[in-house]
Amino acid sequence: MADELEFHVAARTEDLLHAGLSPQEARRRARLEFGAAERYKEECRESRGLRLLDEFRADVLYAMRGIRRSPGFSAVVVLSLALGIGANTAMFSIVNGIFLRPLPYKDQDRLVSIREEIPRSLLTMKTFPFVPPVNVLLHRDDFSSFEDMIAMDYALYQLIDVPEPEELAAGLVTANMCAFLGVEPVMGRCFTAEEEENRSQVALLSYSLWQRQFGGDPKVLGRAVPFRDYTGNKAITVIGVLPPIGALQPQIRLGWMVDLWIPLSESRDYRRRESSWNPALTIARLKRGVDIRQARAELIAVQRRMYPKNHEGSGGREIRVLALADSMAQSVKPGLEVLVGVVGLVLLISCANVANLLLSRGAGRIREVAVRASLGAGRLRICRQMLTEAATLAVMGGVIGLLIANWMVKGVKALAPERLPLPRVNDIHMDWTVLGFTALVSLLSGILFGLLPALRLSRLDLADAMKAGGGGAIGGRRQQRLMNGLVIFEIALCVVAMMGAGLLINTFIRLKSVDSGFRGDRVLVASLNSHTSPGGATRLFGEILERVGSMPGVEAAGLINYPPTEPVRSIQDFRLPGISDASAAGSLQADARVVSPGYFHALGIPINRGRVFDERDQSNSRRVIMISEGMARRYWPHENLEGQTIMLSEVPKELPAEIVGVVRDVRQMRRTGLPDQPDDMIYSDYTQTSYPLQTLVVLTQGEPARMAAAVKRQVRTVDRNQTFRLLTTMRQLLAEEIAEPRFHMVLLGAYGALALILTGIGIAGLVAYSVSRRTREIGLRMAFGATPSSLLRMFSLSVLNLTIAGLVLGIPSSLAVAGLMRGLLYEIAPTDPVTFAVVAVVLAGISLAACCSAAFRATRVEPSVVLRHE
Amino acid sequence: MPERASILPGTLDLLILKALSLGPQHGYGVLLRIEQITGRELLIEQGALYPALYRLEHQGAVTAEWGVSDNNRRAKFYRLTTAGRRRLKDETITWERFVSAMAAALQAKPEEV
Repeated sequence: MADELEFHVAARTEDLLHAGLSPQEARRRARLEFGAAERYKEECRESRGLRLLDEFRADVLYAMRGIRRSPGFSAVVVLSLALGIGANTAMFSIVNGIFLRPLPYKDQDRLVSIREEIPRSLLTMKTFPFVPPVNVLLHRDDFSSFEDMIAMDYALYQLIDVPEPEELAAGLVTANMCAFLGVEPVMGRCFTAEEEENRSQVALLSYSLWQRQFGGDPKVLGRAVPFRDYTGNKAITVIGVLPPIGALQPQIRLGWMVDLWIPLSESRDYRRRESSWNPALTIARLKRGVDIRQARAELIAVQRRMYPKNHEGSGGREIRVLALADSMAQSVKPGLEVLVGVVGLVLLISCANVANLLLSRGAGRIREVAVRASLGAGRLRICRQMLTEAATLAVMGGVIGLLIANWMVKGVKALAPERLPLPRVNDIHMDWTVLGFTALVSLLSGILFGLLPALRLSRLDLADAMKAGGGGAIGGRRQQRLMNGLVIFEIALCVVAMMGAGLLINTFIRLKSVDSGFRGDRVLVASLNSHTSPGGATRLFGEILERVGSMPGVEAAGLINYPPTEPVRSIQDFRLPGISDASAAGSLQADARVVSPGYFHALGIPINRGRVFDERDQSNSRRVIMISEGMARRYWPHENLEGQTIMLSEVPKELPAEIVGVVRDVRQMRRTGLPDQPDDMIYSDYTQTSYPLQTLVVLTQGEPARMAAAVKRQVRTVDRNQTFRLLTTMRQLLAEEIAEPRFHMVLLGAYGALALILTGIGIAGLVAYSVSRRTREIGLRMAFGATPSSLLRMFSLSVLNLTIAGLVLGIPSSLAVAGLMRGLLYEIAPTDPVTFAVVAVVLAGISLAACCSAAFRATRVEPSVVLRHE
Repeated sequence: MPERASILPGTLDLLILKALSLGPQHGYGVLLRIEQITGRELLIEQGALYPALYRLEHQGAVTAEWGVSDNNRRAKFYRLTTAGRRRLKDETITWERFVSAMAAALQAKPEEV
């Protein structure tokens, strides 16, 4: 617009020049003829309907000037908001990545996972699936709810005859996988139905495996690559490579990626295995318009018709149909819910804080507002200006918050160790959705915390405000009450956040001090697998054990199929002799492990009674077992155990086993990440019960990690294709065990600390305001003989009152919240009184510290100056 | 310079529409053309032209775009829209009725009353 008017004047000047005027005269005349340029500009803007925008611009400029004028205040406001918004944005990025971002599959919103939930008490060798998904799969065309279905199971394969043999997780899938997911191989083709039918030895590679082991060589297509599994060696023809995104990649075990896809029939022919076996994962696509509830109802109805017997007595067993995205995120839901809640609290605290700061600053600006109002600014106009100021601060907070969030997301991802159940961790990053979220949060919080001071200031009584004079007594009791209320609210929220953090910190401390029952230091752990007949496996493991055991620097070596750090249950049914099978107490259960005698020595597990396995126990001799102390106490509290026999339920018939020894209890890791009470444990000797997977535990004289390479070399002299899924120290495994609680603790602890800092800022702000409001009163008191310490006491008492009010409000709410956290806690009640006491004391301490730092100014008041000032 | 008549309130819009109906012009060009077609009889406050132009643009009677003037300078050119053309027609009729009514009134003689 300015350009246009400028052009007009210039053109006129030129014309006047042509008419023979002097340059100065021409310019002067042109301006004169044009008239009052500024007025016309104003009118032009109004004609364009831009008044609002102009005023907005003026408000923003004004706000910026205000920010520059009081940099300290603005920095505190912006920082408090940045922390609140940053924490929220980071959390939202995580939630967005895990829960909200669509899965990279065709029609992903209609994909559901079908699985059966069997309570632990019903989990025996004899239980048949209630609704065997395998049958659902077999009869997939008969269902009216589903368009199509795939199933996937897992197996371990070793890639062999390469420089670095590697154990891979293979996904055994139905042939329709690619079409179902809508994924195209980057090279080659997918499976055909015939290949599934004919048990063809064909495989699809993951993009990552193709790059890692084959250097991305396209000639791998059609090649027969040597693999082995526990049945022996085989050559599998590569028919294609799947892209990095879009291939089925569910979490098998945390941190594991599927690197190989093989037709499902290859290792287990599900078409011939009705009802006794379930694939690990069954995914169906709902027909359009069918919802999850209908699908589930149909599954149950079909089940009742097809397997009436299985349905009976199925107490507690349940078929679960979940949206695929939900089912993938389920493991982290409880932890994340708590985190999201706490982060929301932090944002609320920072908003309350900023509202308080603005209120206290507003008190100093009453005169300014009164002047503006008396010059004719409308109430709405003043309100709008105040809101714009708040929003400007909020936007600045948002921008800095975004930087903080970016940094926090990186931190969270770095903090997430391999075993941490953050599914889809690669989907967590900042994107437009996250940016939009931040913008929304910033603006909303701007409005939220700007509204209070804006309303208060705009409702000002002009006459009073102008009369009140100097900065002192303005604001009044009502404002003080409002600010007190906000601080109490902040303290209450802070109590909730800190309680959450406190409970998790306590949980972590307890977890760290759990007596696992075995040695953690100087132990190297290496997983092994065999690939031959059962007898061959025993020979292989025996030879490895002998070689490693005689290495210099090795004190002892042993084997166990699943070490206590592995969250595996391997259930053994048994009964006590003399009690008939038909009776109610007939079938008992314990967890079973296959070990070598050296295992107990290597892990420092004491033999309490009897003996360890030895040469007397051969594959053809009488079956012997060792049991845990807890089991011995449970079944034979008084008797002498010597020669006691139990009946192991084996297929095809029961097998008597003699108890030869009792060892100390060991805590077994659980899938929930928290150890339970020690389980009853039955140990068998690996020469008597062959098992294809074993874990080597080596007690070393020095630092175990330094022995890793030598042990690996030694094992490979026995079996050059041996792979090591695990090759690490027991200390490392134990640390990983508590990685998830630690992750929760660190995050919640950080947010709790943040809440505490913000609340401290809020209290300091309140006291500073109160000091400035009562300067005159303080001066008077001092004139009448009040000492600095008595003044401090006065302010401290009032802050203490607020803190107590906040605690009274906060404790019941935190009890409710802590109830939701039950699943994350270990051996600590959500109502733990010690945690409450600590939280209360810390909060009181922080409030007093904040109060004193702000009230200190009051003690510097010079009574003579203050009293003369009025 | 001879005394010029001030324009009646509300007639500036009509003059602008008429001037633009003769072809697109920039603001200064509109002024020159109005002076030309009114035989320099009317006094126009030059600055007042722009609020009127913006108003007409806001109302959709004219559209504007940046272009280059005869002497190679950047200038905003206005053009009549269809709505503007219709409005010019309507307001011209209204204006003519107003003028003839005024003329008839002013020419009235005592015996005709």
